[in-house]
Amino acid sequence: MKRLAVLGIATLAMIALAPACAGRRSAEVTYRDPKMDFSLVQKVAVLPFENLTSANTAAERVRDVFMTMMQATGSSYVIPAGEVARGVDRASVAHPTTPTAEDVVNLGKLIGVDAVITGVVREYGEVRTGSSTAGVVSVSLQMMETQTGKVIWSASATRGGVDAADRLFGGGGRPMDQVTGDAVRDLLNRLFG
Amino acid sequence: MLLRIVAAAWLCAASTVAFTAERTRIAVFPPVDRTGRSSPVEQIREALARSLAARGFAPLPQAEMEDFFRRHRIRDMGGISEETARAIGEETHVDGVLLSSVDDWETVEPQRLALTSRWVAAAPGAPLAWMDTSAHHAQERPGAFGRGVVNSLEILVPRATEELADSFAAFNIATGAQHRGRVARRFRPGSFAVSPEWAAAAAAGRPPRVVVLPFVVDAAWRDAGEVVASQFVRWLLATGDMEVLEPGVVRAALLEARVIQEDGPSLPQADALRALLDLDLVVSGRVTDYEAMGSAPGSPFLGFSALAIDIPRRQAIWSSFSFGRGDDRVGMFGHARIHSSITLTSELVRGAVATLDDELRTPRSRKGAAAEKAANP
Repeated sequence: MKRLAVLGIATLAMIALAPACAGRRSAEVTYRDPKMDFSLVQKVAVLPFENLTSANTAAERVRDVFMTMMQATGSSYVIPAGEVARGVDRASVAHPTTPTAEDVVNLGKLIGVDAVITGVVREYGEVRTGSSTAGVVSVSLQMMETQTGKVIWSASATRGGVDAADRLFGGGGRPMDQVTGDAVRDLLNRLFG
Repeated sequence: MLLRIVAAAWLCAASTVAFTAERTRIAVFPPVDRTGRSSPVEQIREALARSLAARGFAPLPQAEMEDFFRRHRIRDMGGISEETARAIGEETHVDGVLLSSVDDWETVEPQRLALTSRWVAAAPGAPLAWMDTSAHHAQERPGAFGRGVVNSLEILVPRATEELADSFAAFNIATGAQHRGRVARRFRPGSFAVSPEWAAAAAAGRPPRVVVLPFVVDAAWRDAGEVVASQFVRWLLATGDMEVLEPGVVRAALLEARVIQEDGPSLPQADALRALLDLDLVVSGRVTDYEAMGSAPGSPFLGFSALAIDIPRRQAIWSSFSFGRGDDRVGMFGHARIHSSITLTSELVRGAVATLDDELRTPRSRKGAAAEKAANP
């Protein structure tokens, strides 16, 4: 009888925690060109990110955090946003968020960078589940080398959301800036790792 | 110990000789309204002039100042060009100009007010020497049973002007004595990068000449870019390690070089500014989040990124991203809560500037190693 009670409690706990655990996002796949020597990428331009969210400035926020954190790694030099804007203007890139291979090659020549990074912000904001609210951010990035315009690295990351602790004890999740920092850190680890 | 006290007293007496309130004639310009709420700038100017006069300064009579504005067709009170600074000194015999801005103004409860003032000498080059901000919120010191809540701007305005006048009177132009103080961890940037090679080179040479450009901002926040930029001017100046140019001088150069920055300055634009102003560093950035009140009363928030470009080297040498809320890490009974968005802005900018300043103040031995590394990569 006692064993049955313990089994029952354990089953109930598993049922309660299963959707909570599903709230946590697992690590996403990464593509890395095996023939590319990433140590040759010394200078990088980060183009404006595409925004697929309802938050108007989400793409600018994530791009700013990404540029600063990438610069902080010391592995590559990230050229200033104003210089990127000048390059995009002079190269007449029609869609800076989704440049063609030709655009990437032209940009490389104009602003003297080894690679160009583009990105898409897919989710940015608060999610609500029951009485819990938490920030969530989802970003995909691509790196293209400027010799041929080929994609040499691609990855995506999702961070934040309502986790088991939030569900059990209520309250809000982590602030958006911290969640964004986590997602960007994860992407940089996968780029330089 | 006694010797130390005597030496300190002597130093204090010696330093006050260079900046005695009685001798200082000041043109107190009407503040610029950065709130979009039609704040009473003329009354605030008068209150500021009264506070300065009470401390022995000699504000220039308003009629004389308006005559000068008329003669020189001056309408923009947000800054002063080199030419205007020289002319006002020669024609009205003032020692300098006090330029101010109303950064926050709210008449309905809870009332808010923030004033920023800076002192520009009426001398060639329009050198900027002192800058400070006084920000107040009706609920900043509620006390027991809300007895400390202020329900009138008639109390907040003199409180702010008196604080600014005290700060200015205590400032010493000869020594540039203005201290950054300790920065709390919550105000440090979430991420930042500084070039140690640049810091090593900068520490060895003359203090870098720096300009701060208005920060790029989403249209919804109106003047937030100007407010953040002015706090950068304030805290970069307070480091004492840099020569920060008066924003009015920078504005004149931007107009002359026809620089329109949509996404921060490009390298050719930075080169154009260098040709006009003999600059070393350009600081710019973007305000990504700004809210004076937040979702609950007294919970403002702000997010911004900042970038410094070393023009001679043509590369970015410092970048940072900061975000903070007024209710971050609040202690018991609301201790350490920040009610004013301008106080929050000031603290976050101070934290960001500290990352740059700390690099400049690192021990010489470390800098020597970095310089060596830069010379022999």
